[in-house]
Amino acid sequence: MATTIGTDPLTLPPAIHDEDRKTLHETWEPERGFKGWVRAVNHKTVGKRYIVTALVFLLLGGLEAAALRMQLARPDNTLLGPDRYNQVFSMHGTTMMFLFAVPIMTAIGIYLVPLMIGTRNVAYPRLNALGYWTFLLGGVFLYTFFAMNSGPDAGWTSYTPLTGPQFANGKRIDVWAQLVTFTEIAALIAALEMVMTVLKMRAPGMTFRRLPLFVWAQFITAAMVMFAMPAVATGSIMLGADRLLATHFFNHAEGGDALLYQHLFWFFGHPEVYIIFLPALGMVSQIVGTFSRRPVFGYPVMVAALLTTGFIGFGLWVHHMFATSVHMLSQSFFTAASTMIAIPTGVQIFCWIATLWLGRPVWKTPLLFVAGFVVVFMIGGLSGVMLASVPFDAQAHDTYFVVAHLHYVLLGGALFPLFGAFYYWYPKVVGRLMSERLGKWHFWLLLIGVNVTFFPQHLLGLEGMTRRIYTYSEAMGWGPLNLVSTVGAVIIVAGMAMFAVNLLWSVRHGEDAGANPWGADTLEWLTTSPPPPYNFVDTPVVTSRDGLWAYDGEVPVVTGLHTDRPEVLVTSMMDTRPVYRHEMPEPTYAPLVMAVVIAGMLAAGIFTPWGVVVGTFAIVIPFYIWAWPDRGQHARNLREEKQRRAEPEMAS
Amino acid sequence: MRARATHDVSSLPTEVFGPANVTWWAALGGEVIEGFVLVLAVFAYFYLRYEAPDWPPLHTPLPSLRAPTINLALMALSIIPAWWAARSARAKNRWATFAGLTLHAILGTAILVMRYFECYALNVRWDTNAYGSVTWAILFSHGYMALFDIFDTAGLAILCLFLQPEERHYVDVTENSFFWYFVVATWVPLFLIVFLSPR
Amino acid sequence: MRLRHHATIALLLWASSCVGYDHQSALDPAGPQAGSVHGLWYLMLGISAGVYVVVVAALLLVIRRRQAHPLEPDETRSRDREARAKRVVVIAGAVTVGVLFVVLLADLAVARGLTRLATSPALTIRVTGHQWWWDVEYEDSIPQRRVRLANEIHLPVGQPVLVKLQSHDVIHSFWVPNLAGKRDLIPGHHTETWIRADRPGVYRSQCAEFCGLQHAKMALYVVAEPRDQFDAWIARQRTPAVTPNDTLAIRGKGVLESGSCALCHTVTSTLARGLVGPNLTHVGSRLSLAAGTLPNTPGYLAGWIADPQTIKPGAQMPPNSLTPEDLRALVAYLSTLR
Repeated sequence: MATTIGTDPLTLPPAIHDEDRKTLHETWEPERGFKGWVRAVNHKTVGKRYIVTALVFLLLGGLEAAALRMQLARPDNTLLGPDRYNQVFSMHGTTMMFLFAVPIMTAIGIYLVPLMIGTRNVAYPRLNALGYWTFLLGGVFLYTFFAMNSGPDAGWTSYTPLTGPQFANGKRIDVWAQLVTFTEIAALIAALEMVMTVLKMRAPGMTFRRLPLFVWAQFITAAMVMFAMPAVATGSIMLGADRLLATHFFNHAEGGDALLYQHLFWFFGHPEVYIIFLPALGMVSQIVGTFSRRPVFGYPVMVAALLTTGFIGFGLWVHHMFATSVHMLSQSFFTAASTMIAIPTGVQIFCWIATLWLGRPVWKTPLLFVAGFVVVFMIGGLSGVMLASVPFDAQAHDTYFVVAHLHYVLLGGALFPLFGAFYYWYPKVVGRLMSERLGKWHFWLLLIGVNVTFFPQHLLGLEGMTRRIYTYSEAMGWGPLNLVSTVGAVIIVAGMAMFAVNLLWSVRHGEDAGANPWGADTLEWLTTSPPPPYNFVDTPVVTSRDGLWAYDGEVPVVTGLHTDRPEVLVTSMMDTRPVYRHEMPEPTYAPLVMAVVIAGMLAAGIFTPWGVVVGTFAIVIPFYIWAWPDRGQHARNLREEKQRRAEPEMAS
Repeated sequence: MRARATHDVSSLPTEVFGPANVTWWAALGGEVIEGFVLVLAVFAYFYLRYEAPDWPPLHTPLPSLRAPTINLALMALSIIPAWWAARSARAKNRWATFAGLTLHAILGTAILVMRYFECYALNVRWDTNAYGSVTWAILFSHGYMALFDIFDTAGLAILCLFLQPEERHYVDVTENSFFWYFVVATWVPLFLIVFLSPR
Repeated sequence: MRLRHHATIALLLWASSCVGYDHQSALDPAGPQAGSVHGLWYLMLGISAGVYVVVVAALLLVIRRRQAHPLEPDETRSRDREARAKRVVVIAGAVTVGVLFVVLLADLAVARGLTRLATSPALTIRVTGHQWWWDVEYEDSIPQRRVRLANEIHLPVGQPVLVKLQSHDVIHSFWVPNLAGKRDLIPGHHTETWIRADRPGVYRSQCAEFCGLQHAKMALYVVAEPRDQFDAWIARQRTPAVTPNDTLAIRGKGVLESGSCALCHTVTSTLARGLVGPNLTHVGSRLSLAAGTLPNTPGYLAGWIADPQTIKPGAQMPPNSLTPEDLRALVAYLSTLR
């Protein structure tokens, strides 16, 4: 097996002429200044800002968590009154789930996947930018209302009828429902990008059997998003309609049903956690492979495990409703599914351990975080299997036992791999390595902090401490464990501070990374760190699942794409045969304008339905601007089409 | 490492029609998402119906069939200009494409106007009861999809009028028709469910 | 177990002047349902701990092995090793499937077992959830024998009780951890659960579905007592409100009937017939006030009546500006209503 540690692709002579290379650079060069900033359509630019924005929401969600833990540290505490507490816990859940967890996985995919499959951008670059702006404006919308004491206050789930017109006054719940609309639009756009880019724009030779496991994970996740997001959109829009238009979807007095909301919400809500989890599994695979210095063991099984988890994930949702009047027969089905879903993840863990055993592990920070993932996530996975049991769930549902479970699986299953991914891919994005020392501090503080915070909560739940309570009396005896939990939260904060410092410090002072500091096998490591705007000078041709490790000193490449305009190669789905060359759009204001119009429509929509009506028609304007061709480009294309018609047609 | 040129794609076309094109897949993706929204609306419909002792509820009349039948016929008819526009686009015939798109847009607008009457043909308001809410929701969400297709159709017609379309615009016309077929096809089961199944 | 639970009660009683009740815990079962789940819990805990230890140990062992015996680059693709790894992974996968099946079967067996336990109830109680208190009604075919109270349930030890659940406003959840799993109270749906306490005691329950501002302070006490004590209790509950015979209490009754109390509360055989708030006919005999928030003493009662909003902000009961003498009289009267 050829190793390519430290290979600098700049040493490989470009297959295209130097003149052409200069033109390529000029074509893809980002615009400067504020104008360039708002008009950007490059997936890496959009990806980076998406990541940074998601991290800001992680910080805000974390501050909210800290406030909650401070309030609960002592019985009968008065730091947060009931109204403020209800808003803070709702904002914590909403921020973490809708504004951090899904977006960050999406964002990393948007940045990395085109690089990993050997193309230059995502399939619909302007749509991609629209997705980001919509996400950003949604977050701004939510926090603006929170700052005005009008944040959601019924959890991230907003069950009816508590959130219906009769019991929830003001605009708080409308703000929540609309935030869901914003983030759902962004998520669906990103999903479309991911699926279509992977289906149609892979480099020649990258068949499905050779697709990196991270790309598989992102692809399957994106497919899940397309089916899961519509459910919460439908539920939240119906909720908004009940509140603003006097519909009766959830009003039992007129034939509606509160449980309909729960079905719609959880049909989304359960897949949602797998939407967060699957990309993390993909990250773990890449890290384990690279740092074992051999391919992950059992590739077909790993892919099957991802697919199975994705599918079965849609068949579990009623386990969130075991305390309601759902029929016993269906309860048994959902118990079985909820138990069996542990199998594919378990098998993946076994394959990763096997890979380490078969390989030559290097214990840098990314691999540490993978070990942390196994140790932390498994506790959550096992408590999840317990919760699958209806009788046990009847005791543990809506208590701190579930809070413990969900944080173990989210922090263990998503956050640990995510941090590993940061340490792994930061050198590619920034061009410098992060500090190993700070990384180790970050890791250990987080590992200890997560366990100290959440392990006691299992017991608190079984001792009767229910969820979403702003205080408890001393007589309950929950004080000591709550205090321990709060101390753990402080440790987590310390660990996160290490991470923040590391991120910022390494930009300037990190060690120079070079193209492939880890000696990894996937295509993004073939290009420079950070990659040029066009990703690759020449599109590489993939010869093996082993990627860079299989190139024995020579990389076959594709030539012939236009250099005077941004262009990508579109290949066939099954055998990645080049099919046609697709022109990519130039930077434009249209996505931002469209996002602003959408935001205006949604914001006005919580006050009057006419906001939606006017907004719908207003969208036509940026829509048409978007689609109208640029004069110069139009003239050039017509000229070339005329030329091609004059020449004899070549078979494609 | 050295690079070795093995594939030269400079002779490949810059546009293709049909599933080879990424734009076709965007339309398909949109269809999957919108289609699933309609599936969920239908799920809500049957969920509420299953729980209700009567459907439509007592004192709520059955929907009338005149406006819906007219609209169904209009939709079937609208396939013709959509298909004609697509065919002309493949042939790269600017004015035939323009004519097809314009006819499509006009029929589409008529369909949207009829959708307004269909809502009132339900003989119940959206705020009367859950039956009213969910039937209006189905009509509205399908109508909203159709509206965006008509925006697209009108936009493409305007483009054909003022500019010589490029190949990629002709491709967009075919994708637009592809989406319209989906809009019409999804309406058939919805029509049956909303207007015929309560009878 | 019993020594620990007695000690806990003593500690809690000492720690505050609150109601003395059994340690609220699903891990201290006092009834067959909680007992059944308790057994299942230990089974699952044992299996989980075992699985966890095995997998983490495997991870750590592999790490150590590879640190002690690193491989050469060409050894990482050894067919032999990969075949061995494959065997181990297949076996581990099969064991996982097996273990999960065992867990699943245990789950389903316990679930079915619980439905079998439901036999004909000795009592039927209707519990209606309100924001933020529990309305309790003992059903009976004879209207005069029906009992209405709030935030407390008494039941005879060892006898199954059917609890019918409904909600007056939003979704609540009825949960007595020591006795059974929870059931949601969903407006528009009629659900039921049943409970049985197999040893006497006071079991605390707390609303387990977020229901708004004071979800945290919506508790209920379940008092399990021997049959004769229960019969005596319910006989007393069936009597109309005690007629006061000292001047202070008589004045207090007057305050109740002529003031705003009567608009929301009912005290039978007085003019107070309000149906918005809890029934107060025998409030003096209850263990707590304000749905388990306060102990039932004259001092706390006075504070609650004067200003409920400082204790339970957002509660449906407004502050009452009574003169100190009127308040004293009212509290005296209510304390006689046992």
